[in-house]
Amino acid sequence: MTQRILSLHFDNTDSHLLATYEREGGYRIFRKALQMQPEAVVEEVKKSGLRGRGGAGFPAGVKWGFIPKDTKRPIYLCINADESEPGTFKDRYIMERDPHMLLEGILITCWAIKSSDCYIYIRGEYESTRKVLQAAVDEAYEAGYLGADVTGSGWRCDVTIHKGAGAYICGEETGLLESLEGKKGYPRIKPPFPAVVGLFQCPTIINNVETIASVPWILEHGGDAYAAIGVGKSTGTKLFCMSGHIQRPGVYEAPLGIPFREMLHDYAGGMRRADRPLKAVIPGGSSVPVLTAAEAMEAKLDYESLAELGTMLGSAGVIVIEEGTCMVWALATLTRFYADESCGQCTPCREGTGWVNDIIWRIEKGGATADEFAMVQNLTDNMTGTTICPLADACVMPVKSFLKKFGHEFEEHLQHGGCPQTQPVG
Amino acid sequence: MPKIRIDEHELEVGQHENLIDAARRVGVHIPHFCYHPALTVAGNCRQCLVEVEGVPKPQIACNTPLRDGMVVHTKSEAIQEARRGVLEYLLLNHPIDCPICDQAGECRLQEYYMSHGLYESRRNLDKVHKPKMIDLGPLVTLDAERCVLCTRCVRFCQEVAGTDELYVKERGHESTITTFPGRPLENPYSGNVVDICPVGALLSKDFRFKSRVWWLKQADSVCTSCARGCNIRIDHHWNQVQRLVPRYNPDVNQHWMCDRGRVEYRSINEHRVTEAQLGGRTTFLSDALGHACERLEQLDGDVVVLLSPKLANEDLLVLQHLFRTLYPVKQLVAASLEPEQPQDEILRRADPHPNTWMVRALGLAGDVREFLRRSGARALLVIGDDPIGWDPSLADALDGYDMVAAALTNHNATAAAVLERHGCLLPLATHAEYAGSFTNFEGRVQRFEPALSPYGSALAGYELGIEIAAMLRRGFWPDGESPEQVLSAIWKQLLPAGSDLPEVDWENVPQYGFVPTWRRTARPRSVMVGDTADDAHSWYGHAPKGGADG
Ligand SMILES: Cc1cc2nc3c(=O)[nH]c(=O)nc-3n(C[C@H](O)[C@H](O)[C@H](O)COP(=O)(O)O)c2cc1C
Ligand code: SF4
Ligand code: SF4
Ligand code: FES
Repeated sequence: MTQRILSLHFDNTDSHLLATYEREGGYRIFRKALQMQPEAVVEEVKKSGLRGRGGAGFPAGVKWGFIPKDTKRPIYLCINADESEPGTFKDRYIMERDPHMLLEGILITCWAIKSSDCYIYIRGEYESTRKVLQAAVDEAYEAGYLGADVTGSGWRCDVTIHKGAGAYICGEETGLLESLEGKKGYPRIKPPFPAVVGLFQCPTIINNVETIASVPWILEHGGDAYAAIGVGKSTGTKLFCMSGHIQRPGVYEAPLGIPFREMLHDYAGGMRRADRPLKAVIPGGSSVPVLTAAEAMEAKLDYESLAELGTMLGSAGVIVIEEGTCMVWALATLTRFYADESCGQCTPCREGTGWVNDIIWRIEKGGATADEFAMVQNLTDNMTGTTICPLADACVMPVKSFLKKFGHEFEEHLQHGGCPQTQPVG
Repeated sequence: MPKIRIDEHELEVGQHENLIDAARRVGVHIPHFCYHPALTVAGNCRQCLVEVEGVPKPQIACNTPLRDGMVVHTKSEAIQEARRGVLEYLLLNHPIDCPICDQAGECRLQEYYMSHGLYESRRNLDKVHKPKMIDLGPLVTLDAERCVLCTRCVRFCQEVAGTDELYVKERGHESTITTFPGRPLENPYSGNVVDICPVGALLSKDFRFKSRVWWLKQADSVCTSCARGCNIRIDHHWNQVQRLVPRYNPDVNQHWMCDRGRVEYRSINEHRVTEAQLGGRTTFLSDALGHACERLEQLDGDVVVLLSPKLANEDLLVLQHLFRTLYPVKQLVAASLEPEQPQDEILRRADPHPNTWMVRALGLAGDVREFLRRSGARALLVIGDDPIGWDPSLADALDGYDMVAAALTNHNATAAAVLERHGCLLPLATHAEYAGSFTNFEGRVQRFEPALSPYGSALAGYELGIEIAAMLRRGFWPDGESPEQVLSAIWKQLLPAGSDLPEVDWENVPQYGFVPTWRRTARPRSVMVGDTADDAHSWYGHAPKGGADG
């Protein structure tokens, strides 16, 4: 009964080659889309309820509709393949194992939003992935799926891969645009929004790899069929990135709304050690509030259910933490990431991430005072909702939830003058 | 026009007006660091948070589009707390070295701390240390620890100077303003980054350690370094100019001035001619003037007079009236050999003189070399210019005159040549010492006011003219007791008949100057390229925005 949409071809030999993809019926759906009115394609995607898989979960079809109707400027499509959220490694699978599905999704999307230029912004560390993807792009050009005259239709569509230099902030969509333009990856203030003023000052749609890779299936089977999968407004399937203290870390596709318990046991093989039960779960990549074991065991993995639990599905990077892990150390590891990756534009984020990180590390290592610990709450309050991009909030959310749910560990550390364990993780 | 409310004020706003500027108009100051009306909005300091009714989170005022019926609160408790929070972050790694900082007294961080901060420091660990006293270029030094990373300086170099010398290196709390290796901050407008830096991070190498800003007295003036006539403020103390800073004028220079103009004040402070000299001896001004006038009487007009295009409108009006009508001389010319400077699309004009327009309007232009060598007159009078300085070979030409006299501001080569020949040297005031006006390259009349008391017994050009006329008993005019009355009378009474000159109501010249309707349809012919009134704006991509910002 497990529905496979994105990972359908993952296990095929040579799944990354055009020949394999064509054998499976590849690019057939795109030819069908070319016969449709672009507006009809957008309608179909709206109907599917497909939501952005990059983290924010914004409905893709709705976003496409934000492009000004009467624009005289070129429209751009940017594929966000920066995948730098800790705990997230799904886009990589798509690009390595089924790059042509992504390209077909790109072609359909470009047709739908009346764009002829697509940039794939891939994170700098994904060099081997980039090679596979580039080979696929080259093959597609050669076969006439890309280029000045796509499949003899007279329509032009070009895809360019751009490699980042390894900055988390270049995954934020406007940081990505700046970086793509050759500038420092500083997120832009909004308004204006990228759909109106984006890449090179032109209307631009930015979507995650997984979002766009879902599009061919939607066109093939219809928006309604896609919407029938999943629960409520969380339609379709999702690639879950299972990592942490589990038997089989990896990427698993499942319909949205799957219980965490099922994902852990049936897909990821359960906890890695029988004597170490579950302690906590970060369900959506490092930037979302943590769940306790009890909460997680009752949780369903979809946008609404997790929101009810005060956390988020995010990029579905599910980080599983076992008993015996020092939560102060775990948080310190995360705050170090945000302090390091803050682009440094906004005062509260630039100074706040550094300050909070400083205090958390000194709680872990010894040297922090009880006053400082109390202060973290107020410091993080002053960081939320007052910055250009959500990175500051992304740092605050784990911090606040760790303090709320595992506060006693922080107090133990303070009393002990540092971490009471010899090793933070077993 | 949309109507909005800011606190208790109702106001109409422009479609694209910035909320910070709109608030300023009704006297509400929204604290801000990164916003500057002439630069793009960066929205990074987050100090300008306000509450907009109907929007759940505080919004940054600098990037909030104005909508009809919008209600903005700037003083609520939540906003006070948010401002305090941002300030705390800004001061987190700040060295708080106000007692030794040159910005103290005009620092936003200091001001806002006093009005919105005033909390106990909660930081009890080492601050992030960054480099200090970094030499960025010929005019500017950086203290990276004092920097609040508002990127005003970076945006200035990108958007106004167009040279991109500055950028932010590193990320997060390690972010530091810097230049690229081997590329110092040396664009011709670099000094402006010091003015727009809201804190003491960028300092003028020329001004630092010279004076506390609260000692400075200020006077509105106009730069005399080129034909643009940028509006400036003279900051002075101990009757010395301490620095020149640009003064906002939307029609002339926006918020900026060039580096050359900025350091030009040195000649006001140094090497001044302060007393009259006659026959090799210092003497009373009245004695020297009396002597010179006696000679003039004897020469009965066998005299040539060289004026400077750096003289003010009023100086030129009086002197041309004196030497054309009251005491006609053989030849009267206003010209200088000072070489042209690089011109650009931003502010700088090739013509290094502030008043060439008026010189041409009065028909006073001429060739200095030709004039000095072939005048055939027995006496030479130079007022304001330094022909020998610009061309030392002209010194010989002075030997052809029975008498040489000069009224000069500085001890320059011409002054030396006059003294060598036992001529008469008179002290002349600079534009920092009297009130008057210049006419810039587009015909804009702009007033300047006195900053200093005159050096020694120096007289303004027009005062000198009036004195000479009185001594020659050729009529005493114009009417008036106070300088203001005299200056307006000059404009009312001395416009040469049939000239191109407009009537200028001196006392009512508006703040930003004005371009009068010059009487003849054809404007005085100009030799400068691109001399159109329009290109006053061409360096600034879009129409200038309103609002003066410090
Ligand atoms: C700090 C930060 C990092 C982000 N990194 C990524 C990323 O690596 N990949 C991604 O697809 N979206 C990332 N996003 C989300 C993007 O800004 C954007 O919402 C997304 O690319 C939109 O595509 P979607 O609607 O298909 O999800 C990030 C957002 C933030 C604030
Ligand atoms: S919130 Fe942080 S990461 Fe985002 S733009 Fe501001 S400083 Fe940069
Ligand atoms: S040096 Fe001054 S102007 Fe430049 S970023 Fe720092 S505070 Fe702003
Ligand atoms: S002035 Fe608005 S964010 Fe800096």
